Amino acid sequence: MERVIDGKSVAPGIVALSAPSESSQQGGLTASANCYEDGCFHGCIDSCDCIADGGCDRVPDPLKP
Amino acid sequence: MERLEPLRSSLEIIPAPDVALAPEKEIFRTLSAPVTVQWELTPWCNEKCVHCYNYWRKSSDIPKNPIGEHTTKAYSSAVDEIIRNRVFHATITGGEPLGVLKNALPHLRRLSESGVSLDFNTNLTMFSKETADTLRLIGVRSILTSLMAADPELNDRLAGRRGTFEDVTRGIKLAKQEGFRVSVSMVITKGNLDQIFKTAEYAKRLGVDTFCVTKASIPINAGDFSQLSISKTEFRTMLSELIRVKDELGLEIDTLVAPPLCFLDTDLFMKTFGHKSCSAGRATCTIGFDGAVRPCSQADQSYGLVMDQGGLNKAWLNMKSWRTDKFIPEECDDCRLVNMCRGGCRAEAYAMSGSLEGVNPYATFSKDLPRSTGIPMAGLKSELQYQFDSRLRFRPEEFGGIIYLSPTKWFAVDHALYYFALSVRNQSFSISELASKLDSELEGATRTAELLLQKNIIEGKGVIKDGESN
Repeated sequence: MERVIDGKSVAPGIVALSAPSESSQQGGLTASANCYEDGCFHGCIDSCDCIADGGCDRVPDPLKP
Repeated sequence: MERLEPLRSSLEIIPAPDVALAPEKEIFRTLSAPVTVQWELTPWCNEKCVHCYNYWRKSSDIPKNPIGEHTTKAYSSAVDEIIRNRVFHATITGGEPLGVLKNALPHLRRLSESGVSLDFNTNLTMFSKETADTLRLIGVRSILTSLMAADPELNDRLAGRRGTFEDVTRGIKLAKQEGFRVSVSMVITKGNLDQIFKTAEYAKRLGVDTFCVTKASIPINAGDFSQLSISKTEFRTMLSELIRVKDELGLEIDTLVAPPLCFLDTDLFMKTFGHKSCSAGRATCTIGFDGAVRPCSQADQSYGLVMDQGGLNKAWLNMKSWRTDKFIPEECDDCRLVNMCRGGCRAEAYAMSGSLEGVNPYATFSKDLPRSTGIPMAGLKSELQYQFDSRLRFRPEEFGGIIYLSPTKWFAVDHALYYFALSVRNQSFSISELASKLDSELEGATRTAELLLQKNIIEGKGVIKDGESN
């Protein structure tokens, strides 16, 4: 299970049910851990383009510097 | 008396897709089985709601008690399959399930005794003290009912039966007296759009716990629904009124069908409703009174029968296309929210266009959507000890497992967290211990614990004593 973004664990142990989208795999990053869908905590999606304000405020956005 | 065949013949069993012939991009993990199911005990109903989404709504030959050999076999197989597949929860619905409660009771009792939790969708018009005792016997705590207006005449006109308002009111009062959690669903058409707040006030006086307002989905087999279906502008009015109910009446609110996310074009709408997404064929499905397994109660596509070899599991795997991009309309391809939204309700798109890949009538395709500020985190305190809820249930999956508390409170977790939760079920633990088990830094484990706390999967138990946190 991929759950690492920028070398940091993102909610380790929690498995996102949605598969990572193509855009989320850029740079070898997998943002699936960014999205919990049915267990969603921020309304995030797993395209690395989180709909939370400015990107998720709890999880580093891997596509932003 | 066996009278179900005419209805069955309207359904087409869809064979398992050939992956080689139909390459589809999987956008949702395939669970071993649904987490929850809706089980339609009967097609019969004592009401004729104008907005009824049951695909058999136009059928004229609906028996009250369609309990024949076929139905008994379907009931028995449904229970076998729900238990065998370790489904956590079944919502019992119909038609009107209380109409066949006596016949279904042995099967429901078997589900309950096997650890499957149950709740009921019922119009409550037949609810009695005896019903309350029966439902309690099988562990039911929660009921979802319907109320279309606080105006009795309007309500009865929309429900298609005189006296419905009075019966539902009596049923809600009795259910509350008997200790059930009662949620009211108000389905919105042009006929009752202006009644939302008044109806919520009435529901609050009756003591309901949650007030749900849901746009009537355009039903399959409804014919011309244009005189009843609300417009996009009216849909916005509906959502605004629902937020007003929360703000001014303090009622817990919900809407039961996820709108297309591009429709949620204000910060408030996105914040309030943007977290919902359809889980049909991904985490839930429907089992019909005839044993047919369908992605949701509004869809008429059957992917197999619980009575057939392979049963629920085979039908669930056959539903693969609901977990891929197959049904996402081309118009949504470049939307950043497409994997979450999937173009809005597919059953409604099907009703409108005749295709599951059709455009949802409420999609706007706007690219300029607000960013949700999301749900605040639970406020975890690192100095506390935590404990998993003792009511948790577990199901292993290829990736780890599901830890489940209720239909809205469950998580898919990896092997490490799954076995940690199993091993410390009745013991408290610190975030440090969690981090150690997850092979994670404290910051990551804290985030995990916050999520678990938010869904009540864990709870705080006490302050760590000196020296325990390392």
